[in-house]
Amino acid sequence: MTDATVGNNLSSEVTGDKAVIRVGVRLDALEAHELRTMIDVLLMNGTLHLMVDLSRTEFIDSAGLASLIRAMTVLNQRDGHIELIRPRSEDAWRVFRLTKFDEVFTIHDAAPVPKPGPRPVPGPRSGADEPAS
Amino acid sequence: MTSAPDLSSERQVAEPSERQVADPSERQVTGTDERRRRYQDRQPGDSGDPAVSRDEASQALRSMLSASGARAARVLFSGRLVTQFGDVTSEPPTGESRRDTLLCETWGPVDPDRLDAVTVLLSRTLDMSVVHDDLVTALVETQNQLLSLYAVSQIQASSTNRTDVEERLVHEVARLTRSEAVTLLADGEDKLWGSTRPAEWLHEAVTGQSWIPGGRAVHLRDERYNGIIWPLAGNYGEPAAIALARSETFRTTDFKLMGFLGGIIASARDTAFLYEDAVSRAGIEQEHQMASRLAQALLPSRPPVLEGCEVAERTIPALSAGGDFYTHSVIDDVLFFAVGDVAGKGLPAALVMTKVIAACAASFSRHPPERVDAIIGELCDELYPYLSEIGLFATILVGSYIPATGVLHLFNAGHSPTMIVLADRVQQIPPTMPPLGVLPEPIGSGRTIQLNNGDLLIAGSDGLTEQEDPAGLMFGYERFTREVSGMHSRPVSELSDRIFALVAEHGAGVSASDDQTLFVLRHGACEQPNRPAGIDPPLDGPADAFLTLPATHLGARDIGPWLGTLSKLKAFESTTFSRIELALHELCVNIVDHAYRGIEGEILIAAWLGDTEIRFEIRDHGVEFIEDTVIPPQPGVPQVRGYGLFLIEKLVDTIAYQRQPNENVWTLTIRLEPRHD
Repeated sequence: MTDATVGNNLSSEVTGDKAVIRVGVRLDALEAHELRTMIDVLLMNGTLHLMVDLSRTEFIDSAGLASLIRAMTVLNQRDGHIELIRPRSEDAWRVFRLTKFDEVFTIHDAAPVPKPGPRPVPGPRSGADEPAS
Repeated sequence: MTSAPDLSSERQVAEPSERQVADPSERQVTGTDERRRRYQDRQPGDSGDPAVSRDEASQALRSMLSASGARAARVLFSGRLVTQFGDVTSEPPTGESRRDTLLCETWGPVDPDRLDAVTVLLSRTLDMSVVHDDLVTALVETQNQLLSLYAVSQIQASSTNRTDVEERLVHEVARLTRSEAVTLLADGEDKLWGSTRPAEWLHEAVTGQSWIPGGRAVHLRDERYNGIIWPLAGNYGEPAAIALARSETFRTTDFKLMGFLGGIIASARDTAFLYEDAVSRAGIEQEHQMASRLAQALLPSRPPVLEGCEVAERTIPALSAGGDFYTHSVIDDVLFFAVGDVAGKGLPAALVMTKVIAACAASFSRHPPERVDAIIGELCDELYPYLSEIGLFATILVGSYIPATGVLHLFNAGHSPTMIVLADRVQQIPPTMPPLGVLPEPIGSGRTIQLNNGDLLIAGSDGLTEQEDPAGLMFGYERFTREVSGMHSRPVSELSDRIFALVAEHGAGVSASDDQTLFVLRHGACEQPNRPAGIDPPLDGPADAFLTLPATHLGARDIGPWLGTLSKLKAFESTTFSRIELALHELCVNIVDHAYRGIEGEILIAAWLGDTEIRFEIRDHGVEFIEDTVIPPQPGVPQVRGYGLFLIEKLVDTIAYQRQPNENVWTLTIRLEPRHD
């Protein structure tokens, strides 16, 4: 198992021919380029089953979407597959709905955001970035 | 003389005149071509007949006919002599046999049946030899043609890098001409190819040889090799020639082939030269554009905001940047401004413009509002030596304006059109001094004007009044005056939009010949007509907010924070916010990728925040957007490009694109959902 992190926003975890990529808060044109490079490297090293975790992503643009579509096309040709973890943010999810890619990708729901503690005041928004317990 | 063949006489008759190969090994190599050539060159009455049959036929005849008892014999093929031996002239033949066009004559006691048999055999051999030669010739020619065509296609396909092209050419020439060494004589060197010994020979042979560019071939020859220098008739670059060497003599067909190849080489080199030239020009052009954009960035990106007045400033450069400029400073509630035009356009004018703007900024801060003459004097002192040295001049209108009192001081050095729109008439402000750079000392004087509410100062550039229509008719000073005369009290942006639109309409189909610039100042608050409640404001006043961002993917990240500040001016729902953010983001990324294509630039966004809708105007100076090049995606069908515009259309309520001179203008509107209380 190898881990790699590109910038502060993108990280990957590889086990055999399976890989998980965790995408940061923003997947825009700038970040899409990094993601594409990361996916290329993974595919070159034999990844066939890719899980892209978008759960904490709040902004996705068409370039970000294109990098996922590209990965899907390549993996389909190699009898591999790609699955996504749905962004919790409705704003980020809108891009998938508008382009109907919500019906094309295999999509898993994100783990629920950890509930705020017993205190009545909800925690800071960054709580969404913590893994579900 | 009996059965012993007379070799010398036979040879005399049967040999082609040119050369009989003495060296058997060399003959092996060139045999096929020898035969082909002899067959091709065969003329009626020629002694040379199909070479393959001559020796063999002679041999066969000799042995067969001698064995049959012939003293002498002669064989004619189509009336031409193939071979003979013995004495065939002193008496008529004693026997003969025909087979098609083959005639066999014998002297001496020969059995007629045997003679017939020999004739049939000989005839077949000759027939086969003709067929064989035909085939060989056809095959060789076809192959040569194919190879030539292949070479041509390769050269054409790779004609971008000259060195590469030349290398390939040299190889193809060597192959096609069966040369043992080839070199391209160009740029004072030779690009040698071939085996060591012939290559060394060729190098030595061409050194010091003179040849005339595009002239005749030069022959080089000694006992070892034959060579040619074939000058090329190219139009670009240094004169060049191709030199070849081989042991075999060069023949007519080789020269024809070289004529063909030489033409191709010359044209391929020309293509490569033109390409190199185009590339270097494009590089220079790009640098020019970047430098011009930098100069253009010196212009204020937004008009000054002052209580009690309204200002609009706008320029559209004819090339990537021009000499038109405007600048302003607000010092102690006084607006100092200058509008001008440096003669010429493009980078040189833009560079002068930057110097004029810098001089203005310094001068504004040193003088009270009523001393515009002192400002002009200072600009004159500072810029005259510079401008006169490079032979350029600059028109300029310098002014100061006090919004609180409506007092306007102007000094016009050669700038037009300059006018004031009063409630009942238009007052021209003619220059009182020639442009900067013409005279070393200022002359004339400034003037002071008291503005009333709604009065407008308008300073345009000649790019507006001199814009031609397709028939060559100018927009004109009079029309300009007429169009602005009815605009008293109107919002400055309305006037500015109207003038630019009218000029663009007038010049539709004609490229802008010069920069177009307009500076408009209105004294007093605008009298906005009351609108019935619930009707959208026309959103044509000044924009509520502006954003200038660098045309990069990183720059597009400024949009979100800017919208954040906008939402303080106008509260809108978070889904609306994110729709707008994504739409603007997609548009800007598209502009970065497709309009600027990696060239530095800026994107300007203006926002109008209405009660029921928000409008954004996005401007860039990149290349024109052409809709046909966008492949519209099918929802859900994987496609890597083309989602940007598709998404924008889904996110906003209206989207419009307009190409203005040197500028792309996108307009997006988003209706605000009725908010729940």
